[in-house]
Amino acid sequence: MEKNPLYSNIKEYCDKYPSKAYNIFQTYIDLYIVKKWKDIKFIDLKNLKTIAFEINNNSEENEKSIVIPVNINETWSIKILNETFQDLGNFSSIIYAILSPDSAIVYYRISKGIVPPLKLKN
Amino acid sequence: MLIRNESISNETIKLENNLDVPACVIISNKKSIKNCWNNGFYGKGNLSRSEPDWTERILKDIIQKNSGHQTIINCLRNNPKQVNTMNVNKDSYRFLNKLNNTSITFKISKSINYNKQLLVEIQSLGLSLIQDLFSIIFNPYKFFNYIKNICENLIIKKVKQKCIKSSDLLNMEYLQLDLVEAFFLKYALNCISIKNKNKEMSIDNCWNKFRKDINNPADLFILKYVAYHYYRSQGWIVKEGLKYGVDYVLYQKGPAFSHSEFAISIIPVLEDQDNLNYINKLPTVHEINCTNRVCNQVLKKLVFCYIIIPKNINLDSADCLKMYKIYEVRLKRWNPDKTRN
Repeated sequence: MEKNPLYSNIKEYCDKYPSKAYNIFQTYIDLYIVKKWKDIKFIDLKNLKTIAFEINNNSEENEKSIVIPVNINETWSIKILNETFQDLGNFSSIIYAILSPDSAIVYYRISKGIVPPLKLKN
Repeated sequence: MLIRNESISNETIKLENNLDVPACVIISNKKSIKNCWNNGFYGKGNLSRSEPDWTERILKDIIQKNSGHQTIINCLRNNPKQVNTMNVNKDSYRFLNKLNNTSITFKISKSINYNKQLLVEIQSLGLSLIQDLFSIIFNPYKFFNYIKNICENLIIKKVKQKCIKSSDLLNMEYLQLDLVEAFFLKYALNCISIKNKNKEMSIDNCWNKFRKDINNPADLFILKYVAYHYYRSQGWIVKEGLKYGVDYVLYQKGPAFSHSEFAISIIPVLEDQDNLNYINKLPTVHEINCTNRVCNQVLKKLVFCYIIIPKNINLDSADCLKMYKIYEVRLKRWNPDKTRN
């Protein structure tokens, strides 16, 4: 992990939350290298004890999206989801990056309330 | 990170994330990666869908972006020596010059598709053999492709040289082994050695470190390992099934050959003569329907794998795994309309 050239970008975050270091690292390189979203900002989520990524997705109407890496074994509750939405402020939906132990990542979008399907810019 | 560069019987692999239960086991040595993948499809490239071929894909992308007439022309201009020495007869230059001077016009069939500008460039560089000249006349498209291939090979060579010099490209991707896979290679096949902070781990070390709760006979690692060992020893290639909503998917030959045929969902049961004592809540009929629907959509057959956990078992060593039993149930949707006759 440390040998990867991109590790230096997120070293401080991995050191801050060492138990989530693998999740943060794998999600970061998946977004940066595989999905090629170069413009990534970091948001510290203290109550979830992890780092969220803010990405600019130009093909969707709401350009900015938040990606939160989670383990496959984590438990969620409506309360935690509510708190996360509150902490993040004005985002109406969050993308959860669910990491499987073999480095595959499955992304799910959770929106606040009932929303119509996302419109894509043409 | 220390990797010994020998056959699969002596791979050295690093443990990731030393706190509590490690996240995974990583192989970075290219030869070891090839060994692990080619001898049973173990692991997954962390930047790829299965085989760790991120570097090859990036090079392909670069080449695709760099092919096209203008690039080929530039390539020819910048490397006349290299292109000239490929299959060119120097006597033919004189013949070509003669032809140019006598200004004979050649009839080229209209149905053949070719790029006039490119051909002019090629000719102006004095590249042709007498054979080449005939191909320009009779089959300019084939000749054009031939020159295009030469140029593409040159571009690939240059790009590869640039990239391979920088170790960044090589260190980007590694092969990631699940804890279960790594334990199988260590315990069942004994063909790798796992290192944590440069200290080699024994089977007992791994057995204790990989489990979250060492007193729980229904620990997730044990359940997953029992199923993994069971199917692997029958010759199936076993891979993670998160994308399909199940625990594992089984391949008959491997991910490179065909899609997986079976989807395995694990249900743990405590052994009890009198009544069935399920560890977690059994999936409801509704959930079973949902899982089955997903599996049908991806053309996989759903199998429920009951793992029967023995009572009062000693978890000190990995030998306790022999006491676990497996019972399988295959689920298939029955449509009364379609099966009437």
